[in-house]
Amino acid sequence: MNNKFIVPEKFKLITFIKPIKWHLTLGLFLSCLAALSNFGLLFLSGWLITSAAVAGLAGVAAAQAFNIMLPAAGVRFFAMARILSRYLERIITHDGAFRLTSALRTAVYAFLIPQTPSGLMDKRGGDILGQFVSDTESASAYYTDAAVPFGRAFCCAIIFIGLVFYFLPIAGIILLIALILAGIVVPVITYYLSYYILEKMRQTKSVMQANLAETLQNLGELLTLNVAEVSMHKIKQDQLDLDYSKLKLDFIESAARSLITMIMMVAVLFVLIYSVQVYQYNALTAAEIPMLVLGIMAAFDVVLPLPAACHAKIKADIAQKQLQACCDYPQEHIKKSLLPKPSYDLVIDEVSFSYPSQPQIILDQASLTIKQGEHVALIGASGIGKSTVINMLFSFYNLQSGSIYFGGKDVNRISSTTLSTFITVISQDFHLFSGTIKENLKLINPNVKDEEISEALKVVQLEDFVHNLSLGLDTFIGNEGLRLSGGQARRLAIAQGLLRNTPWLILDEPTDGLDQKTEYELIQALVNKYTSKTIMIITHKKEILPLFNRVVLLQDGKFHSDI
Amino acid sequence: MQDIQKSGLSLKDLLKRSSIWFALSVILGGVSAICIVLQFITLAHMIDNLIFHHASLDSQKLNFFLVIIFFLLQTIARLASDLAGTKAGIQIAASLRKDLYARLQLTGPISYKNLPIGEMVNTLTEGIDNLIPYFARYIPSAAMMVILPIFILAVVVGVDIWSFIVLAITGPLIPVFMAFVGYAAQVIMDKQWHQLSILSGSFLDMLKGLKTLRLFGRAQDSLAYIEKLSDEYRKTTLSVMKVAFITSAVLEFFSSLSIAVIAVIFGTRLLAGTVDFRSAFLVLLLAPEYFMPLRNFSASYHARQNANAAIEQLKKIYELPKLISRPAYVENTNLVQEVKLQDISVQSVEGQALLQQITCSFLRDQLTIVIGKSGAGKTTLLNVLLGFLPVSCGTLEVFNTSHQEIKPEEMRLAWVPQKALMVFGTIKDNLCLGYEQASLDQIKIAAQQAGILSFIEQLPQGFDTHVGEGGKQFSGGQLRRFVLARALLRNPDVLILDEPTSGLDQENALQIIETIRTCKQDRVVIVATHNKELAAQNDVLLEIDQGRLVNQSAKGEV
Repeated sequence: MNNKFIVPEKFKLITFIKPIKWHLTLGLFLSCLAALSNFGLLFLSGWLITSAAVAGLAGVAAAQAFNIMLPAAGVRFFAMARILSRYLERIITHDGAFRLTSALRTAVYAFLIPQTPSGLMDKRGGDILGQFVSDTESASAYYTDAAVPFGRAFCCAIIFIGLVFYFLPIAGIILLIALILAGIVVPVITYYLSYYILEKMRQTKSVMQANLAETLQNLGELLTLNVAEVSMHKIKQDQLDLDYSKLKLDFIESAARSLITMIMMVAVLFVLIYSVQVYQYNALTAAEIPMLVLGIMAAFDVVLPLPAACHAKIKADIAQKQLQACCDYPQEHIKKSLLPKPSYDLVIDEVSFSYPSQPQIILDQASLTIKQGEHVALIGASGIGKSTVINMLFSFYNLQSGSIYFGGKDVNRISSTTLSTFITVISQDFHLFSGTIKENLKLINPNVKDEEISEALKVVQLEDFVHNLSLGLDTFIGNEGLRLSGGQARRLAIAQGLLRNTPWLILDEPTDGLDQKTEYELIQALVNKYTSKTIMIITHKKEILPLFNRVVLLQDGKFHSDI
Repeated sequence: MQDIQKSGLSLKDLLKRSSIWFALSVILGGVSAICIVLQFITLAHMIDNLIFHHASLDSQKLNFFLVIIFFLLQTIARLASDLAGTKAGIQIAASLRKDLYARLQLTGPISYKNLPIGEMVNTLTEGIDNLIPYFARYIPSAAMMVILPIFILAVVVGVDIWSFIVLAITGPLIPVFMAFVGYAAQVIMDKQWHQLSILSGSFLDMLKGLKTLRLFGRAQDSLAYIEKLSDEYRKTTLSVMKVAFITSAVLEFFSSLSIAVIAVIFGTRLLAGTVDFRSAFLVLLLAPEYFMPLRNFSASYHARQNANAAIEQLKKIYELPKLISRPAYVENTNLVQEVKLQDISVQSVEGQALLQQITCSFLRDQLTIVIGKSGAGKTTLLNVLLGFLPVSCGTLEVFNTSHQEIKPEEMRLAWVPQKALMVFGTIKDNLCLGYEQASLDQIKIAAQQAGILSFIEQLPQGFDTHVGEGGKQFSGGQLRRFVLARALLRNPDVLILDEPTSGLDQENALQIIETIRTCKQDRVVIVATHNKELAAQNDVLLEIDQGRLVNQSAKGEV
């Protein structure tokens, strides 16, 4: 067990931000610095040229008395500061966002471990996992796309208002009101107008994608049934709906931005009127009028990105909610701390089971004992639930009644990690990881030796195949092992399992996709090599049954031994 | 294959599909640009009057009014231009989707059998969506990048020649530098592309393998692996970004510096009295606007990269060979007596021979069994009969019961594939797929023939029972019979079954075999199978090996 990852009680974004908060703060700080430099550049430029103009008009003496060096240096300083801080800001905030993604992914993964596979099933649309990926991305984009713009707007607004207030209090108040309208009222309205559109879009999209996958998968059948057009039309209709929603969102965002610039213009004009009035009473110098005008324009640069930030926030909120819903599940309170004791016998005692919300009864007070060292084949009609035995053994689902014991202990109270050190299961829906053959074998057992690898490959009849590859064990097998044939992939998965060297080995339909000769040789090699291992094989192939000590038939919810 | 058409799928061609909206977007953008400049000219004029010419606020009423008018016009034009851009993007996406879906119906399923479905779904949804920002933002902003700076330069040249020189020099330098840096970033990107693409898919890969890892007791340890992978991803991406962000830094550099230079130059010249405040202030107002389209352009630059990547993906689908060899079924009264293959050869898309010189006949009231090792060409033969694969030579002829030749599309075909579609809905929905007008009696008869009627009627909700996602509720044998019932409901003349007993146990297999045997009455039934009991039921037995018909025998011999 790795204790480095502490899984928090509840799934909250804030928990993941904590360890990287300084990174995130630095990003925000730099982002404010960039905005302030921009403001300073325009503010000071406005002052500089007006003062210079005034001095120039006042005659040669005044012109010579005017020290242009200092403000000119200031202008150049702000210009350089803006360039540098923008660049650093981009690097740091993206770095922060990636760290956040990483933390979030690890957490989502940790949350999902205990509820695999039961928590990941029973939902429509095959791409629930792809959804996890994009949800973690949207949730962590919260930082760069929403938190930074809002944080920057807030921090900078205070400084802008303070500065303007210092020169002309009324202008400061006007700016305050304008920024409240543009930076709070407009984004809040944007948020509420857009939330439901985005939420609905998400639903439509997942339904549409599921339909599309189904249509592509079964296009041949749809064509012969003459309904391909109908089914594609439905998808196109959903996509048009989505497009229309996109247009609406775009309108909201653009309208919000226009509203913000309008507020800015009104503020600029108001400040101009007041400052000119004040200037006429000599309470303000001429140079300060363009400075204030340009300053107010520059101040609005920080609120203009807020409508877009609102949309990012909504997306992050929805994604976070979704992740929460998937990750917050009732924690089991049973302590799973028991350790099985030799001999490692499996006892299924009067067990009844059916899958949640499915009518079919899989087991009906069924009992079965498998002794350590036996080689057993479990057969039965397809769809009758032979593979269910694996799910029950690892407590992936709860039993309705009865108990299962392994090594004398109730499996309900053995953690699946402990149990897996005794039992290796090669399930039907095995998964190979993107990488080389060797990486796949090492991922399962990092300490495996080369001799063990070649022995395992020999058993699964892959030795020649690997030997003939130019890169041998370092051959890249593609995403999900797609570069291998179905039979090769399955055999590699069996090799993975063999390398774990556990007293028990359960294989679920290991020979699907193999020709009869390879199939027989594989099973024969397996039972001959591992005479002391308990091997249980779930199969419907009759040819291999003679290789086993015992054949168990699952029928009518009961196990029938020695048929 | 002669049917492969080189497609003209490029961003440039797509642009033409919505030229009106683009034109509108660019024109409105231009209007907005003109209004911005006019607005600033009036504003500079007004402030100059107020400060240096001691004009009263009242005397500036007209200017005030004009500033507001120009501002409103500018804002509205900007908004309309944005929307027109989005509309153009959406229109192109919709038209491209329409194209692609129409093409898929012509390519058929065999054409893309090597593309992962998940990837195709992604390309057809996210991929096309990635084109929208390109058309909605990048193209209009690229147009604006030309229009607005030229317009501003034209104004500035009339105001002040020095500022004109500063802007005219810095402006064109930016795209040059940006292209330079962009190229460098692309080189780095290409180098790391392989690693990036593996790493970016790694989280999904780990999620998919979670059950495996859990069964192997490696789930907790794989957490560290996930962290390592995402950390590598972060580092690799940042190394690319460090270069890519220089692009924007270059832009910042020129825009900030030219504002600073203009301010300082004007400062000195104003002190010397060689220039008036009005021009200085106007140029200072215009300078950020001069760089604004460049900034927008660079912000939407990644839209172009995404669009290019998406186009590459879309081409994979767009350029799929059109393999469907005949139009959809046409309603007619012909009854099929014989389907005759004469010297048929079939090649794969890659040009590999799949079937060679096959000559055989499929007759009414007969059960024809096709056997052979996997990969021998059984499924290919079925695909030819179904019209999913064209023949490279030879003929497929169909004769009706009056021995007249009819068109292949006049065959009333039904197909039971190995992995059949179960739609999300009730049993009835699934049986009536493609034949919604079927009456309950017809459905019952079909279910009866498929040997599943009593099972369905036993269910508490009967035909209205929900099948769940992918029909998970039911066993393989039950699902197979649902699909068989669906096929029989159409009362097909030609019934084609692919491995109808695969994955079934003995008992279920025997039931299916019995069903197949009984439904060959008044039909051409063609079955590809490995199952010996099923093969023994043949009236005609065809054995295929390495794409050739090696044995053709009749009546029950295997």
